[in-house]
Amino acid sequence: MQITSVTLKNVRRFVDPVRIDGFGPGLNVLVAPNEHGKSTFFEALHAAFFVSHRSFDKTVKALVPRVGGDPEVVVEFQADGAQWKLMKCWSSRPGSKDAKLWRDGTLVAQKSEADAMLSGLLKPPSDGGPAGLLWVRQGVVGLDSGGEEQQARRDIMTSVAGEVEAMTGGRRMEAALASCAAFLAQHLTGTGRPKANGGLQQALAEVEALTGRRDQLRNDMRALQQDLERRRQLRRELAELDAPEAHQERAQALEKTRETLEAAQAHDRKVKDGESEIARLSAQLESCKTQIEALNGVLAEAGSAQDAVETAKAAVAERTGQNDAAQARLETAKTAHDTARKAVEQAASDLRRAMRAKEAAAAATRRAELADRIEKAGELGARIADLRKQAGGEIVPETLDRLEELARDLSIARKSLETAAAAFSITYSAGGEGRITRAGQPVEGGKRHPVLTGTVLDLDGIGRLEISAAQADDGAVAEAEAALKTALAEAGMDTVAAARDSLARRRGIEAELRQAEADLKALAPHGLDALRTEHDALPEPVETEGDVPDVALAEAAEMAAQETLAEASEALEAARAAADATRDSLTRAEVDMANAENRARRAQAALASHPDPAKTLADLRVSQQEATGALQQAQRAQQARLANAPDLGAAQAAMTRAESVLTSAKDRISWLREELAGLNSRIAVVASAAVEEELALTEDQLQQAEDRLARIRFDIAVHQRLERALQAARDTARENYVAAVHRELLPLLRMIWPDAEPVIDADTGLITRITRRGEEEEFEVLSGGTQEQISLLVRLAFARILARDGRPAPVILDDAIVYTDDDRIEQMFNALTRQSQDLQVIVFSCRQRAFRALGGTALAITQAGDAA
Amino acid sequence: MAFRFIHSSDLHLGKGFGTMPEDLRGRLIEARFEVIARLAQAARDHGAGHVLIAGDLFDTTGPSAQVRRQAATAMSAAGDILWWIIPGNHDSLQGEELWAAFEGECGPNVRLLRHPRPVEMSQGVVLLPAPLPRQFPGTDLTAWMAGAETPEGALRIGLAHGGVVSFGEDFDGSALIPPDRARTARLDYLALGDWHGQLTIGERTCYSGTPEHDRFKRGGRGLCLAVTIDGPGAMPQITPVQTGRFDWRAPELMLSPGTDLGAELDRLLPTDRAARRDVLVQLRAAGYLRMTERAALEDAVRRAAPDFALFDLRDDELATEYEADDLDLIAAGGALRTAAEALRAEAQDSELSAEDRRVAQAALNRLWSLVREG
Repeated sequence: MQITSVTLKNVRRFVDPVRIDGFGPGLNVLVAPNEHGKSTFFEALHAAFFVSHRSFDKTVKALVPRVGGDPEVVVEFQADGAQWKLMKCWSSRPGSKDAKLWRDGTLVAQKSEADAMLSGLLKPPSDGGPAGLLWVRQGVVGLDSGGEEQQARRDIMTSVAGEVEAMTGGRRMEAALASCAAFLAQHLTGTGRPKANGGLQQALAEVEALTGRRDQLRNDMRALQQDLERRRQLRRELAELDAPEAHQERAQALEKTRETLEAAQAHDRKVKDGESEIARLSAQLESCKTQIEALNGVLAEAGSAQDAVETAKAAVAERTGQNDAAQARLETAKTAHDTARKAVEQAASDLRRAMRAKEAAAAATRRAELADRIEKAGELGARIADLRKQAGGEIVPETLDRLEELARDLSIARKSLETAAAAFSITYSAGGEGRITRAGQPVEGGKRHPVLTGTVLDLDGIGRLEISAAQADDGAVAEAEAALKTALAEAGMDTVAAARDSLARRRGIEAELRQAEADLKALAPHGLDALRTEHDALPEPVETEGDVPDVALAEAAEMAAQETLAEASEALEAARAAADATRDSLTRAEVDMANAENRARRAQAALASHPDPAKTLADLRVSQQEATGALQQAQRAQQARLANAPDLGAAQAAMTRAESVLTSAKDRISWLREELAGLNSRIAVVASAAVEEELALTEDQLQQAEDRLARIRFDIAVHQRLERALQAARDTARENYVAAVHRELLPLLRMIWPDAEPVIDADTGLITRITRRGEEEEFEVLSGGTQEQISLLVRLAFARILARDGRPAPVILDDAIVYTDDDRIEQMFNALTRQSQDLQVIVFSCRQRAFRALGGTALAITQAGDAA
Repeated sequence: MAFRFIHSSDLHLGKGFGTMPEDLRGRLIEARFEVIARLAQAARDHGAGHVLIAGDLFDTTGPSAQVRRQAATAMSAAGDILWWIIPGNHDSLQGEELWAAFEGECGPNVRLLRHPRPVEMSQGVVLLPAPLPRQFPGTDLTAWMAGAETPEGALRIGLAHGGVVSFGEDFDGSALIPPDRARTARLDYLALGDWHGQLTIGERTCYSGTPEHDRFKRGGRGLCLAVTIDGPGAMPQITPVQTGRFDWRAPELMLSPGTDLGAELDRLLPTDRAARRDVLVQLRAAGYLRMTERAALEDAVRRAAPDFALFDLRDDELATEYEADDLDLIAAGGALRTAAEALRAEAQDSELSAEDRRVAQAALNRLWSLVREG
């Protein structure tokens, strides 16, 4: 929105119409001295926008001129792309109250409709809109007394808070959140668990208690139904058991069973008597048979024994003859065997003699061979000793190596001496060769000749040249010579060459010695003593007596004699076995005869008790026939009894069962009565407790409690969801607001304090602290001027936010920065100029000199025609 | 001479109404008990000396001694009336203690029929009862009636408890009573119980319904049947007689934006405010409403509810429709608007579970209520 003109009539001192026009889109400044009417315009303009034409409160009354009249304000402005004109007239007389609104020259609303339409354009503070906060009166807090809006917005920061509320939901949001929290607090703890004694816990406890009660009642019901069913069964059973017919039936059954058993027992006794008679007759018959068989046996044995005696006698006679012939053949065999044994002994003696003669001849040959080898070995041993002695007279290789080394040392010493000594060399001219001599010997040309102490050269045809030289140091030569000399003396040699010869000789002797030792080893591998021992162990040769048989012949004769002896031994053994067999056979025949004679004697003794065996036998057979007849009769009678016998076991079992049935029926009846009494008692108790009715009621109550619990849970879920949605929306709005205000405010603040940094409370949206020059200060402790400046800057920042949201509203200042000193006011002018680039800023001030530097569009109050 | 009697069933004495509010329970229980006197009065009004109870006199086989004794006393006190009672599935003969005690407490005018055999009700009138020996008998207990011999020219009245059609999942289908049992058993009238609503099966076969309702399923007030049979073979004259004290109503209200809620409620609810005290209402609202309309409905229910014995608004199937200007009622902008839009988006998000959507919708309604309450 942008104001273009304002006209007043009957407003305070302006009874006649006055007007300010020429408002521009940016900064507009009306600078005039006090009492000029600036605040009148401010208040009238504010009333036009925010006070209903029907009102006549103290705000309106304050506008009425002292002379009376109805205040009238006409404002022209641009908004939503249209040109608007507003007229308001307040009056104590209802008929004079008026409001009109034109859009692009057309009257579009009057009176209340005009107020409503204007509210829609402005979003006044009473509707949560922000426009009112941009009206800044004198001083920091603009506490013009009276007026609902002023009271509601005690200072500029509170106005900002109003906008924050509009964005974050404000009091309605807080109320809604508080309501959610209060509801949830009735049911839940801070950690979300059911609260002790809270509605949720009570509902849970109620459901739990009713569930337990229902389960208990169901159990009771089941138990009751089981008891009832059991009682029905027991009653049926008791009725069946205890009926008189049942008693009579059981008694009759017992009596009948008893009669059956007694009949069976009587018959059983008869059967047993029959069995005894049959046994007795059987024994009698068996006795007759036994006696007949015994007597027949004795008679047969007597005849048989006599026959055996005769047979045994004939056998003894036959075996005696056989035995005598066998003994004669045995004697003949023994004689032949003795002869053969003696022949074997003779042949063995001859063989031993032949073997001894053969061994003596072999020993004599060996003895002669050993004697020869012992002699030759003795000779070789002497030669070896001699050679070893010869070798000991010559030097050993190590000695020669030592001498050769000392000789080399001496040679080196001499060469060193010569190299260090003075020397001469001669180069002969052609034809002069050999004309220079030393000690008579021509001196070789082209060669170096050392001079150790001095020398004399004879120069043929010239004279003698004597060369003197200092005595060279020959200590090393002398030392080497002494060492060599000492070594030669120790080796017993005169020269190194003699030593070399000695070693050569030694090596020849050693070769010969090795050959002699090899020969000796061949003759006596184990030494000479071994040869001698073997030689001495051999027997001296002796002469044999008589003819010595040939060994092979003697061996053949001995083998033949052995074969003859074996055959004789075999014949002897056969004869001896045959003799033993005939003797055993004879013995057995003699024993058989003795046994037969004994049997005959025993048979005769047995027959002695039966003077007339035939009669005895006849009597026994008669008795046997009688017993057989009696037994057959008894057996037929027994078979007839058995065929008709009742089952005694079955009769006994039936009797036992009948007695048991009677007893158990009696016991069961007694038990059933007791059990029924107990059941009746229990059923009566439970039935009187109306368990089923109680269960039905409890199930209904449980259903109701579960429904209640479900409703509470649902309500909790609803409030939790609502609380989350509200909190999330509020947090987002606050973050958005704080960021926007901070973004707009920061450049304005830094126009005043280059390093300033505001701290905006996310909950309230207010500036709580500000950091300047590195120090943080609470807003409340800042000076009045600084608070005033910050407050104005916040409004300007906020106006920019509104403009960017498509809700541009003019910032109207009525001596708003009175506490700001002249130095600081320049920066504030810069801030106003900066923000007025896309905002309309209207400044009323009495500080003519200071505000002359503000710039902007200069406004003036002029006389006007009728306001409408 | 015409024979007159009252046919009733399913009194369910002893029912606790545990799902009802505590202060209402006592009234409902008392109304059940009072129905005995109302049946007796209906008999007198009808000129009848007999009341036939076709089962389920009691709600369970184990009612409290107080319920049993007071029922016995009330019936016995109506000495001019003969009460003919068969046990039903709720109070079958398995309740031995109940029936033994009840018989001991009743006067001679109360006849408990334990056995399926003909009983002479009065001169020339024979009752053929089919008492339930247990809760689920598993067989048609009226079968024996077809072969039952009665004196020549006598009225044959059957008395049974059970379904002729399946009444639900728990129903014992094997015990179905043939719909033509009256014809096959040559009955002049077959008085049936078990079905809580009054129901005519045939010209001679009826369910009386309960004399005092106990649920919303069968709306209105309970009834009994006044039956008159002029003679053997004559068609029975059957007249419903209102006996119920409480009026159970479960109206359905199909709503859409723009519905005149006040007019709809006025149409559904009794205009006599004094009579509302004995009316129980379960209003089933379905369809959808704008947010403000839904609040208006809740307000209307809240205003009307105290008149009634019970007023239960079932709005599970009532959806809320939100337009942009509905949310303006919560806030035109700012955080409240953001929260409202988030909840509305959630309430309409088909990706979410039905429960989550329901919670979000309720949260949005709650938000509006909170804002409205200020």
